[in-house]
Amino acid sequence: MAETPALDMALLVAEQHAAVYRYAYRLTGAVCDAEDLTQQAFLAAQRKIGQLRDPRRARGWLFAILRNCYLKTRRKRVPLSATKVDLDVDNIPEKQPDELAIDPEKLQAALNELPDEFKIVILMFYFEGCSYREIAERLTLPSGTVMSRLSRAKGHLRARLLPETSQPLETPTRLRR
Amino acid sequence: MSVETMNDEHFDRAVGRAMEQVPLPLGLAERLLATLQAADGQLAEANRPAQGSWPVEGSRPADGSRLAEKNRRVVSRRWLVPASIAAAALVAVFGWFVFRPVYPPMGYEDVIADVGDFYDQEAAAEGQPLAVVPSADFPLSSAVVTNSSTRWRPVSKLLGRSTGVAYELTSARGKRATLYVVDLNSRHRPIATNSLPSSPPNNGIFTEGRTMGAWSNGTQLYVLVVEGDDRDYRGFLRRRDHLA
Repeated sequence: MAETPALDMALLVAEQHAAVYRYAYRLTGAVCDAEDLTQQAFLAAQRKIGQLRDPRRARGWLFAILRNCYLKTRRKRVPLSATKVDLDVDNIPEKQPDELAIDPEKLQAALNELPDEFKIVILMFYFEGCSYREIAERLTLPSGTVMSRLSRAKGHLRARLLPETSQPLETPTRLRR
Repeated sequence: MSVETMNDEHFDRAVGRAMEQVPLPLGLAERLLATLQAADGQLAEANRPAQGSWPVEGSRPADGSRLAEKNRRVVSRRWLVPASIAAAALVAVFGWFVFRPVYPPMGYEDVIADVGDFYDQEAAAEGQPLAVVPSADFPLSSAVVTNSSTRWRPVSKLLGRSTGVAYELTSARGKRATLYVVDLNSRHRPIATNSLPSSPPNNGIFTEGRTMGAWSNGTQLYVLVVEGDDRDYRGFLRRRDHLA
């Protein structure tokens, strides 16, 4: 006998709410916004539960819903151009210590500085484990665009997170958009 | 795997771990379940009156058959086949016109992505030494470092071009690179020349263990693929003061 949607949702919440909330927190950068976004995502998931054919893909499915909910909430706001953000990927340290521990709060501060189009790509890479080709496919973007955004967003995280004792690269230049 | 590449992976792992370090609010799961149950009840209530509101089948006026009858009288049977062919041809021409592939010019990042895919799929055959001179249409760029071990081989179907040349390079530190050269002014998919620098960019795009950069001299497009990071990439550039 098939399970009722309510039971499926209870299972989904029990198994996935932590991952979805963490993803939401990294997207929004605020506890309240993250919980609201998590709730929106699960409500949307409840309405679309029939679309989930393979329960093993529940996490990826929920992440996709979460991303869409996030972008919907952001659409009303004025988008921030990437050219206005100081993505100084040229001052990237060359060496890191053996044991690299990154402060989660600094990480969030660095993520908050990224425009949405960069943040979504970097979170899909780190949270969902997507390659740049998979990201391009899911976001229906040219792979070159994804590759560039990923490279620049990673460069931004490096510049913000790696220890200051490292040497910057020679001849800093600005990256083109 | 190079030390530099390992450092990139090390950084990725560290960021991945830090991403997961988010404390969960107390009672989150319970609040979610309560919200979902409340919403489920509202949804069931809202759907109930909607049932049975579909229009009754067969209520549409049957004037379609009258029109068909009229058309049958007007169109003579002997013109039916030529008229159909002509109509099909017209539809085909119109369809081709509307749906013909119109490719926008490729920008810098599109070039990098396409060449990266080509590099992944290419089975690098044994090249020939520079003593066997390659085609003058695809000269080696003076901006890259070459040595006695540099070899070349022809490539096809790169960026939609029928021909091109791949130069196999090895640095003094033993790093390997490939310099692809294709004709920029080809009738194939255009490349936006204004998106390309005139000399190798000092910082390449790093992905999947390799660093890539592209530039053009106005006639040829050069794409350098280096196994390694930015430092390895710059090791293949003859001058170190190139600006993107």
